[in-house]
Amino acid sequence: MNDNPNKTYYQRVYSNLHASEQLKERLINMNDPIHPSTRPSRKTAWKTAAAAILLAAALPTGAYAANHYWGITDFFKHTGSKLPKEAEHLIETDIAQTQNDPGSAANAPDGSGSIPSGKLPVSFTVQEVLCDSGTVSVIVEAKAAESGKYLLVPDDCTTEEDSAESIGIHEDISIGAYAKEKGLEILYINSGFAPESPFSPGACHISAKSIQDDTLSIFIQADRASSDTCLNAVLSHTIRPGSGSAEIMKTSSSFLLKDKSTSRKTVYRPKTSGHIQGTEANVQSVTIEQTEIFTYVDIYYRNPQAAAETDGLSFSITDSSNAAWNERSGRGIIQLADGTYCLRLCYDKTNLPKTCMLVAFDYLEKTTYGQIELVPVQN
Amino acid sequence: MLSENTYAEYVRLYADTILRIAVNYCKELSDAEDIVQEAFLKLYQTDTDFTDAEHVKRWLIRVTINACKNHLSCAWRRNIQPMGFTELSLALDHAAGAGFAPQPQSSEASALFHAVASLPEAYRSVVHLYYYESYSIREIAHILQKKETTIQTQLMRARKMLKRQLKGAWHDE
Repeated sequence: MNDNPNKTYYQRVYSNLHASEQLKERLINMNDPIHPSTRPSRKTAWKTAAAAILLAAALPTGAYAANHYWGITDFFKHTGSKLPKEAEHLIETDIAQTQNDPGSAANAPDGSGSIPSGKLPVSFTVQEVLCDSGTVSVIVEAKAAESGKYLLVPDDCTTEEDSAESIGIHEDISIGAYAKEKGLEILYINSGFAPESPFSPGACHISAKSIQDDTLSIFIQADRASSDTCLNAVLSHTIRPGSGSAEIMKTSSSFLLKDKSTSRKTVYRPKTSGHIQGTEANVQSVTIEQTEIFTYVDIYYRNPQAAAETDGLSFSITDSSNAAWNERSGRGIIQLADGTYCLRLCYDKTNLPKTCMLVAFDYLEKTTYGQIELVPVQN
Repeated sequence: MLSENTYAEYVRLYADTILRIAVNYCKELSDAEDIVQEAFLKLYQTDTDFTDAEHVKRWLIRVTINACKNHLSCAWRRNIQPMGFTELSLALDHAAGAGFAPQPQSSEASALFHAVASLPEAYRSVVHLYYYESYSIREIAHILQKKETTIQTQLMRARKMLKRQLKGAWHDE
């Protein structure tokens, strides 16, 4: 019995909040020894794409067919970025891949959902791969084996009640209503890197775009967790019938990733003092690495107050005229053996500057401490 | 690495705990679910030699809070405004179908969620670990790797803020 009325009140309210069974199932499936379920994170459904809208508008009564291929460059645009011209030649399109067939688990009499890939209602093909020293981007096409029967919808980020436009279908109705109108059965599709792949789960972005009713283009972007030039990648795929069936079908595909990118790396130091006003923190150095695709920034600093109340310290980069660089993602903070912290950021490709500004702020208190001018270390 | 059965058992034991902490930080269910998955994937991948289930729970809480901070830090840099209180209620209503059980005292729940959501981020985890998980100040300091005096200060300030918002529904301690 709790004799603190505030605890009783708090626990009474919060005990009603539960992780859904679907979420728990996804978590447990990540540990599937045959086909670890997909590792999601930072998923976004497609909102609207002007080109697809125009094409779909020309086909108002037929099955939806954008009749357009959506590759890595298209998804970069969708996420508010632009793939640099010099990176386009790094996109691989002829990818040797193997579909991992569980074989003996055929037809899943044990309910494991492990059905030979040849018998699955959807096939998965890795169509494009782009890799540099920090990030990998992949396009997977999910295509129904039987035409005119299914509507493929990205799992996790959509429900039947969502607008069809959320997956790029230009129809002012819900996904469920659209499927019903067309007499299609909904299949929820999920793809992502398997946990054993050398990619960081904390920085994975997945978008999906309906190409046709029975074809879904899935864009997966993740941070690399290995500096090897050749990487063995495993993608896990799941198919969940929208009929309310608990059955989840699984398969996976493997392929070899080769990093053919080049990079330039420069170390910067504070021009004067690295001390951040209002804190005890001190910036030691900043490494900026430019590849054909992105610019990666590693900020090394000491922060004796990290364990105290003022631990919302973080940084961003602006150019010398205070224009903010276009950030792609935060890649987390790591603490090195000597106690130094390293904040890792990823920006759109930016030329290595002669000088730039490091802005220090507290994201918890929503205040800016100030900025430090960075200059390259002369070799 | 944990065995398959052990890992699944931890999911069943702690998914709710981790989701509640992540929701308190992110205010948005979809972001919170992403963070829950990130935390459990790290559990799946870690080589940490856990001594017992409580060790796993505390490890997961710490990993979750770090992931939440990273999420909030990115949002700040990108100038993404956090969801307002109305949107929080909508998010929690949205959860009703999948994971949020209907409750008769919805206005009471809504008032508490609003009040907790309006606390500074750093205070929310302290409040949750104290009032929901019933950890002591010393234990919270250990989990969050902060000084006990810091936790005491944050808890004291949070109580005042909650009292101001919830008035009679929140008792003086």
